[in-house]
Amino acid sequence: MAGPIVSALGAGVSAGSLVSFVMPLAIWPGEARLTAPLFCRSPYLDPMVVSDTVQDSEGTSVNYTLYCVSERGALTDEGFALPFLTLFAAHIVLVTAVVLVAVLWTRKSSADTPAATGAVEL
Amino acid sequence: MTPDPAGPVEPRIDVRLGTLTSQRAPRACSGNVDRVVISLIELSGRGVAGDRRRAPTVPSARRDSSHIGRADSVSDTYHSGMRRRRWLRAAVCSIVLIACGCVGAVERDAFEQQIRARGGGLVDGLPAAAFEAVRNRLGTGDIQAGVVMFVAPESTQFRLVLADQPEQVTRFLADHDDLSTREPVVHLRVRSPQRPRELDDYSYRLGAVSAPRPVRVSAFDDLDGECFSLGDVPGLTRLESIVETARARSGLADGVVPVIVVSRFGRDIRIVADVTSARSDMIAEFDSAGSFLRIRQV
Repeated sequence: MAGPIVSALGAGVSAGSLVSFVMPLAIWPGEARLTAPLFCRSPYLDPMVVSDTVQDSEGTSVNYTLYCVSERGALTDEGFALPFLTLFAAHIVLVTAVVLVAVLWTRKSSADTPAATGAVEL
Repeated sequence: MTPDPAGPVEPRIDVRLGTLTSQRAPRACSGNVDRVVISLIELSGRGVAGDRRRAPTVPSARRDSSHIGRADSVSDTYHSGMRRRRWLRAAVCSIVLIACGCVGAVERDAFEQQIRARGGGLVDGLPAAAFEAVRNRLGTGDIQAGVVMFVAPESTQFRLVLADQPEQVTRFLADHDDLSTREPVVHLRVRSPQRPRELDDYSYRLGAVSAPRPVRVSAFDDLDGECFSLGDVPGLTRLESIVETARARSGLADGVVPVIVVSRFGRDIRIVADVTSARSDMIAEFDSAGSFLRIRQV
């Protein structure tokens, strides 16, 4: 039983880390809004991810910030590091769970097939 | 993307925590899409460099299988097919990333516009929280202020329009080069409780009050005539109502309230709200109790 868990965990950490860097920073920064239940308290219930483009000598970079906004525009600044780390952990857990289920399902399928009789099928 | 003869190209994504660096960015977000597209091509090991590097490896087996007798042409066909597929994969990745790039994020100016449209964060609890924070800092119950200013988020420019602008407001504005802000902020010019001839500036934002900033006072400044007790302005407990009344009375369809100034105008304490839109600027005046007095177009 430890084998599938270790392999799923390895795949989860590697693939989850990759997904965690690509998804929230380049493809879907708004994914950080999913962490709002952890960071946004009443009355600041509307999460918004704001991008700031900064140009310096190294080139152009984009900073993201998660704000929790109230109906009247009052806001709290939650930064991006904590939401990012939360997503990082969530991605690893998610990928690990998916890989684990896939591995267990594959094992179960192979176990259900009849045992080999030693006969050679021509 | 120069191929590394020593071995396969390592997957590479340049990422700083919360920041993605890009090589070029004619617009925000487009730069990081470029970088990720490049990185994904490298991740697959089949980018432009990968094609050249791997070219001889796979077809060599096919060249050896000479029973077909057309190994070179088959190899070329196979190779060009693979190359097309790789470019197709890279193109699909690019299209997907360009289509999806920055999904769910809003630009700063659009965000601030939304905030101002909602009321700029000038809520009823803001004055009380700011005054309480300054009281705690000063260790006194009664605060004498010369100017109190509420500013809604507007990081690109700060603009204040006043009629009959008092001298102390002019001095306050002259002492602050840039009052633009990313968050709702309260600026206070406060008289020192221990030394009444001294003034300090404080700003309150995101639940924290700044350190005091000393103000140069002239012998000609009438601090007794300019300052007032914050307790003498009960109208500030209804800041949301003041914002809504100013917007409604202005008649501007897209009017927002970026600034509210509280100061003595003559002998009276006034709460003055700017209402701005793309078409016009209006000034709404309220008394210290928050009752609407008049609105003027400037």
